[in-house]
Amino acid sequence: MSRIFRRLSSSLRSLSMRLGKSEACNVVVVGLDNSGKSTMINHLQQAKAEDDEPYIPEEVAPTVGFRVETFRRKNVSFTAYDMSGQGRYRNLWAQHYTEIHAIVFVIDATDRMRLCVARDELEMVLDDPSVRSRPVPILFLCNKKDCADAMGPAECVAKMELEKIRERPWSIISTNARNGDGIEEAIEWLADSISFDSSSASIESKHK
Amino acid sequence: METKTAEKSGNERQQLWLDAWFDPVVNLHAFSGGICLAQDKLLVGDLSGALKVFHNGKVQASIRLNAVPSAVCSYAETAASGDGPGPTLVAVACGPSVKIFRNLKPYFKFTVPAAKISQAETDIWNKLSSGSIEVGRACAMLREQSNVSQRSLDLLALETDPDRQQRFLAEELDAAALAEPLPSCITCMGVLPKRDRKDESEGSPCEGTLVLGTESRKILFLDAQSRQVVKTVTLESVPVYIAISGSKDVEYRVVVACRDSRIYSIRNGDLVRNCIEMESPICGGLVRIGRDIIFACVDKTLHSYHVKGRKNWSLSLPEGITNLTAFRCARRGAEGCLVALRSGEVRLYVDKTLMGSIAPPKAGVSVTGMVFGQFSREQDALVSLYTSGAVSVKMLKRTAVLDASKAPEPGPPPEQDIPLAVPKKTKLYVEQTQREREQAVEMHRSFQHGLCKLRYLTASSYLRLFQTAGVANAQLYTSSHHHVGRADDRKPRLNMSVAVLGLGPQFRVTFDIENLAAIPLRGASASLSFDREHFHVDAPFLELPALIPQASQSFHIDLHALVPGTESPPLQLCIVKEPATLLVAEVQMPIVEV
Repeated sequence: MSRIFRRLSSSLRSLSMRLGKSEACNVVVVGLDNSGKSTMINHLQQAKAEDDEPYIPEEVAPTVGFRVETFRRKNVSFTAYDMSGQGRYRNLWAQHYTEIHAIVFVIDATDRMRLCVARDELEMVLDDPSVRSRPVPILFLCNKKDCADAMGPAECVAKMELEKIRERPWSIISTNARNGDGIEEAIEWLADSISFDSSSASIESKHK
Repeated sequence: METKTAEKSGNERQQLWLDAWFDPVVNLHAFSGGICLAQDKLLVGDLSGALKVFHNGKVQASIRLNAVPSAVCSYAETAASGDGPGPTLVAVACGPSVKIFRNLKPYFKFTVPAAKISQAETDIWNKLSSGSIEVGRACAMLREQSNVSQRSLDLLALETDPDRQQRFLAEELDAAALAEPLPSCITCMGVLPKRDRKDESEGSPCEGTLVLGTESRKILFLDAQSRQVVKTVTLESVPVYIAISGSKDVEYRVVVACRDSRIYSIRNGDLVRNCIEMESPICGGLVRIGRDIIFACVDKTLHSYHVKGRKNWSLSLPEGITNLTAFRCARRGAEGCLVALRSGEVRLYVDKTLMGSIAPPKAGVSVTGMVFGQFSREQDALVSLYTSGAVSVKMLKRTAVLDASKAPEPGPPPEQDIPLAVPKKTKLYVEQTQREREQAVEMHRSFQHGLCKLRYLTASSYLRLFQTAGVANAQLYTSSHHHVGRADDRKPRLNMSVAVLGLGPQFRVTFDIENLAAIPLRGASASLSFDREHFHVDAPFLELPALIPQASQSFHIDLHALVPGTESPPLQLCIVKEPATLLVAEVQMPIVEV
């Protein structure tokens, strides 16, 4: 049933794309500090998917609080809340959960020591009432795949116990936020799995 | 409602820490002083004599030290230009020297200047080298000295191992070696920050200088380049644990726990006169939290004193304390200490309130060393090494509640307030209690009446049993009952009852004798006369022991019937006290059926 529904919605979306309409969606980007959230957003903003001209990333300062950035992919206009991953700002993450269509969780694949912290934070994200009540998709980015001792997606799934997530669509993609490896693929998955109608309806009902 | 809160606090206790890394086979052995957290690296001065550097759960480097390290510290080199901290240095104290590493490469080595040896000690060594006194005698003489050099301490330490002592002497008794005094060993080391840290969360190491405690009872303050001693403070005893607070530029205080169970403090380079003196030796460590000093004693107690010497509190713990480390969680404003117990349990105390505990990885393993601090971008990490050589890194949960006022009150557990499931009062129960209340006197009387009747019944049954027992005896066995009643009390008077046990051919004649006289009867004997054709008796004659007045004693004689199926003549059992026969009983034997 849901599969039919999804196929229908995606065909509707492709129709709307052909008509030149765009849809807006909000995404919250979370993850521990130094995992590469801002670098990834910067890459999405600066580098155009069609462009061949390489984008050279700058050194990114740690985000304070959060920042809001927008970018367009596949005729979808994304508004990304780039949250700070530092311990003292992590309690701000929950403020945006009510108005989002998807969650992007960035994992630092080289930081094995703090994977337990990432897992704990993920548990808290999934346990939030406004996330638990809606099956918003969650995308995991296994970042820094270019580093020598980076964990693969399979190892991340096992250690973060991602297979326990059953109530919502999720995916894990290995990325390198500095040169953009895997990011386009990840955003494509995100655009495909966001169900605009159901989530926006729920948001509206929540606002009312 | 209360049960819910109890459950909640229980859950919080369990989830105070996250398991970041646990390796049971890493084979690390070090004490708290030998563990150092330097940004994302874990430095351990292993007791095997190597500095091991761990990064991301893997050994990054292992540097041989050629000595057992006693302390490891990391700090930033004071930049020559004076702007910003220089590169991070790692100082490893082993034996009498501090090896300083820069980028994990040997950079500089500082050796503690040797103290001057007293004349008396020099004389002893000279005598020892010339062979005029024996080693044992020399040791005894050295022990009498109040303050001896490192060489003498080494010699005394080897007293239990004569072979090694001889080898040591062979090396040291060289005349050239004697002229050069051995420097004294470093027991503890700390870093004195150069300036106050504005933001603790920065995590970068601060510029600082080294402070060393030595076996020669001295605290040495080194200069910024660790080239020479700037200041020396002499203590009464050997320092064991050191805790430094403040900064060199503003004001600093060095608190030192010594082997004489005292805690001395050095303020801006001067020894403060008053010290904290404990009854039992200080063990596990010394922690400086704000204005307080926290330390543990071997008598299973944890103490907190104000830095000026006033006692704040002390706690008695269920087990001996192996380690103690400071717990500072700036983000939550919680300060306290982590206490490792002999059982391997690690308890977190925030201002004497127990916030939670960590169970050991397996039974019978306890903590050898632990350090709490910033590790790998995480502010609140606890690194602990266990006796099994295991290493465990735990990180404090972000949502952990560490408010001492919100912690459950010590004392009775909340379960105590849960009422028991008492069944409802039935009508019958109410009626019964009502009756008991109103007619208590009558009920008591009726009970007493019943009890009295029961006692009377018991006593009368007992008496009847006595009366019928004799008859029963006589009926069951052929038995006779004799009384020798004489008026004269000095004459022996006996009462005897005889019974024959058995169906044949083996019989046993048992007889109970009671002395009715007031004096004991000695030298009496029992003899059985019988027909030799019918019976065989092994021992027909029995010497009786002294017969005590008013006590019944039982004896027996075994006999064997030779002729079955016939009636035998009666036996005669005589009690004889020379020269008279006291008592004769005639015993009719039953017919042997078998």
